[in-house]
Amino acid sequence: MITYYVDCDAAGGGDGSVGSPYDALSAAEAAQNGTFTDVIRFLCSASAGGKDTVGTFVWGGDQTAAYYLLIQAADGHRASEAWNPNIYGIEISGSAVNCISIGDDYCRVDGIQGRVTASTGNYNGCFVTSTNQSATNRVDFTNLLALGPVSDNTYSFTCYNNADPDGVMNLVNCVGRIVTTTDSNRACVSSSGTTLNLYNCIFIGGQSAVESRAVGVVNCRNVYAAGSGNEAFYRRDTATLNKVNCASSDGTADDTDAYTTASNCLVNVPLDATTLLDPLNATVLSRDYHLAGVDSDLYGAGVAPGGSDPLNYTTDIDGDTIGVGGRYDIGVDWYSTGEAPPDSNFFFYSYF
Amino acid sequence: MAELATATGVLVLLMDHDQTASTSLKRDGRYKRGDIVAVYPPGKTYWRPPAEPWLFVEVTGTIPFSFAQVKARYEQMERVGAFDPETGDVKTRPIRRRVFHVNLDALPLAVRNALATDRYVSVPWTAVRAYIRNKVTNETEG
Repeated sequence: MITYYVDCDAAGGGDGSVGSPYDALSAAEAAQNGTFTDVIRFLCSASAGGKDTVGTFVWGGDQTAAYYLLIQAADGHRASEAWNPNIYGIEISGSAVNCISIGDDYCRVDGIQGRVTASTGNYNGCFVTSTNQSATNRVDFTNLLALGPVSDNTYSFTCYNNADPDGVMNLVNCVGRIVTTTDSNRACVSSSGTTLNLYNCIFIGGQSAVESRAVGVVNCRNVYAAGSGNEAFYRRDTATLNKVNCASSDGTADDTDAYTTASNCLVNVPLDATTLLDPLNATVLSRDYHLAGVDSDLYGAGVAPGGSDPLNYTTDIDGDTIGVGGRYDIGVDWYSTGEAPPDSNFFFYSYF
Repeated sequence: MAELATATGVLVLLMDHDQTASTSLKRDGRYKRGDIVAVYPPGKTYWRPPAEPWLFVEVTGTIPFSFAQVKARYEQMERVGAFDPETGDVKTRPIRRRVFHVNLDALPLAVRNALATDRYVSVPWTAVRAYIRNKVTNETEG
């Protein structure tokens, strides 16, 4: 593996080395995306808490299954269940923008938080695939936090969009949240993709939170979908939607029809602080999608991941080992009793 | 030996050569020589000279746009086939990685020599605007 470093607080004009990192992910892509003879990793950080303000379109490279592109947040800069203003993140706005758009075969994005602060055009989004070249292509999005604009917008927007007409896209331990619940906004959509696997994810808002459309297949496992204007889980056309141990804030998690299956799914799981730690904070950017605790409906309601890499993961978005004691949760957070409850300091300070 | 410098004007990061690609389709959407990769505000620290494949042009004097407008204008990409939310049809790809570029080979000889030697040059807006071209409309800024 060859690593090139990205530090969005670095001086401009660097060469990607440790001592002279690129100052934007887009600069790394411009300089290093090409013919791959090894795995290439762009390791992202923000030494002074700055943000990457240019969207990146990964396009023009010749990746393979063995020699792929990995875009990864450095330790200490990895995405979690809530937006962290002090670590690396992609913050963009505009009329034709994506945080990261994958146009090449075989790319992986891991641990990145990204948000679009203002979307002034249609088709914008956070992490998306576009026109890939190969039917055997595979794109992995793991441990990501994707946030749409903090207020309603009138343009179509998706946090995650599988728009690759062939190949496979995998989302593991990913959060997507849109405030807008109307028009063509979706937290996650397979718009023209072939196969989209959603494992241990949370999707909130949008006209639909999870949507399978056209002719693709969307496989959901341990997914919580909520807060959407129409249906949390929504299928249309001749697309397929399969749900295993999923939950929804409405009654759609256990819907079935000729193209839709459901097993062990929960319905009417409220999007509030009984389910997640702080999903409705008045300050949208402060919302927190940790599991609320052992009384959450999502606690212990999941099932073991299955399949091959990357669907054989053993950790949650925070790196905590999942499945301890045979318990699996729905969502991106495997609840650990070591996690401080939200009011733990109250008792500490009250006592002293 | 590169050293850190601080921009006093708007700093423009340029590609100094075409990015290669294996197919014409991919090549169309990659950066070309003179493409404006990123725009930075005054005060940005940068390496002088920059590493390959970068060139820096520092633009001094009054620019008739706010910095936010400059950034939005010069970092825009042209893409085609954006998805139709109603039909689900998606064929998004970049056909021009940057809409604007600087015609490096047409710059005055002294500026070209400075870029060849130092990979950096400082020029007033009035001296460079005629060489900044919109590839879609073929119009220059001057």
